[in-house]
Amino acid sequence: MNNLGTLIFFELKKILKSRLTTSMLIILFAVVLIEAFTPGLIKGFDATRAEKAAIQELDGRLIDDALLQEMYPKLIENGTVWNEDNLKYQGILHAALSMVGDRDLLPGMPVEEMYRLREARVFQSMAEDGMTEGEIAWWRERADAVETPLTSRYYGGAIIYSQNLSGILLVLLLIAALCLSTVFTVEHRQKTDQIILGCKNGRKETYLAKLIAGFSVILGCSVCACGALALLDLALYGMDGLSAPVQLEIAGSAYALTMGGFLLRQLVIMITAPIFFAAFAMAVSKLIKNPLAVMGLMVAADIFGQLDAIPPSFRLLAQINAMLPSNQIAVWSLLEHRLVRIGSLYLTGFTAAPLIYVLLSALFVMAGWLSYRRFQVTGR
Amino acid sequence: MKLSVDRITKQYKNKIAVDRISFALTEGVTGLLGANGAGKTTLMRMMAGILDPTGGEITADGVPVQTEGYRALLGYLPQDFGYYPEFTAREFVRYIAALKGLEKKHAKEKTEELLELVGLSDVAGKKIRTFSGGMKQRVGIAQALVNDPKLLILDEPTAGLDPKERVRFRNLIAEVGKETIVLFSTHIVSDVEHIAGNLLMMRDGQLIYEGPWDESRGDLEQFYMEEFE
Repeated sequence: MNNLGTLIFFELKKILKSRLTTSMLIILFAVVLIEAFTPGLIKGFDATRAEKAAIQELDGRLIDDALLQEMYPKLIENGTVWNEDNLKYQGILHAALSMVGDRDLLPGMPVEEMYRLREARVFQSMAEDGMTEGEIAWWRERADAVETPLTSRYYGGAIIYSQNLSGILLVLLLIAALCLSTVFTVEHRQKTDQIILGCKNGRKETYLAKLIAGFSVILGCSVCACGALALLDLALYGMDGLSAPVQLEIAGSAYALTMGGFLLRQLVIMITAPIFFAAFAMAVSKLIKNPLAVMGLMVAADIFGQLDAIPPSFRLLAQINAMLPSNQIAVWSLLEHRLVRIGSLYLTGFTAAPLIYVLLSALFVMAGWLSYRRFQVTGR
Repeated sequence: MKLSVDRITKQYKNKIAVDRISFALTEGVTGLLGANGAGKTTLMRMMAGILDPTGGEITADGVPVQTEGYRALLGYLPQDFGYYPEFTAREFVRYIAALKGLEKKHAKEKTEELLELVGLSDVAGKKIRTFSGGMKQRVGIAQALVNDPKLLILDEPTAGLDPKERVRFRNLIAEVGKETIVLFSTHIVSDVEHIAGNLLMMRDGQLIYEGPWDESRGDLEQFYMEEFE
């Protein structure tokens, strides 16, 4: 019998009985609570509810000349102060400013000009990012998929959830770095490897059991944290606006996505990126036999991900940076238009990144297996 | 069953830890004697399949040491080994039973039987981190026996046991050795002189004596002291 189920059970026990894992699980759920409550606490839950009700008054209306002409006098009368009289236009103004970039240009600008300006700015930023003609042409073919005029929707709850996922992903990275990098090395440190490797199921089945246990822990954490956060955000802010176009938040995005579609893509990242973290932590610590070095590498990669000063002329480096999980999960990933080319096929970051994470995970798993299979007990 | 060790060698850079050793074992207890650094642990690790030899081969009834089939026959107690501090004795033995491929129900029964045999049934549910050195060693012995091995390799198994536990352990090994090939390493002659029907003595990676102790050569302990002084 290969007893894989029983071996996975014991491997899970080893991971979950560690005090470090317990501490990290507590931290994960503390972060879920902090992420969920902070936006409401900063703005005030009553104010958030009032804003939602006001903006929802315009739900379903096209952002066209009629709506803009209705909004301008209210803004001028009230200056920059939001009050009951003009609160409902807050979302419209955010989208319009995001398209035009300059508040002074806005009053009087025809709505067609506003959308033309948006599109021009989108393609200008692509050229500034050093994208090839082929890539820009690919996006031009799809430019019409972004329907204008945009339709106004309240999407406050959805965007809060979307933004909160970054914090959760960071804790998942730390869980992988701290708790999973020791899955193999603990056997050497505690000198239990000699007994394990001398057993019938000590090689292939044990390697598989350890990997499955590690992946189960990280995926379990991700699913529970994302689920708990979704329930909290739903209760506190609602999840309205899933059908809102992402251009209401990030007008410079060329993606023809709704907020709901964007959230789905983020959730795919929330599944594949933790698998990537876990595979890296487990396999690389097996290869270099040093969990501390693995933790250091993972933290360094996260810091690299936060460098936003990589010039676009360093195309490959800048694109790798943009496709790191910490950036791919962020709302500004909607502005990452560089494509991944495979032969004649172009893939967007949202499609390519999860595939790359899974592919790299498979490579790490194979490299780890080669190391584990050849492991010899020497010294001591 | 016949265990064949044929010209087995282990070399580390300039040092030869085990030098072309050959012998064959059948059911019964074989004592492996040698001073520290003689190469006993290296030889046993190669026989347990956790260290590849530089040359030579090891087979059990023709089954090579590197295979799953060989490991299925094996029980191994390393010299210096660890535990999972958060596991209880029962959990640890059951875990090893799963590693050795025992079916769940059989593993459960066998674990209880062995913990009773090594005198730990009353503390089976306690965490191993609370155990004394001798108790931990007894857990190690239980795990080595959990699959009813046909080949049992014990590297310094009496280390850490008090005199009463030593006697109890020797009796247990003598009983197991009736149907199993037992290789028992030690540098304490009294551990093996009454139970080992066969002896191997190592010095500097080489075998200097093989076979049953020949009484005409005098006292074993005296011989050992002279050879390993």
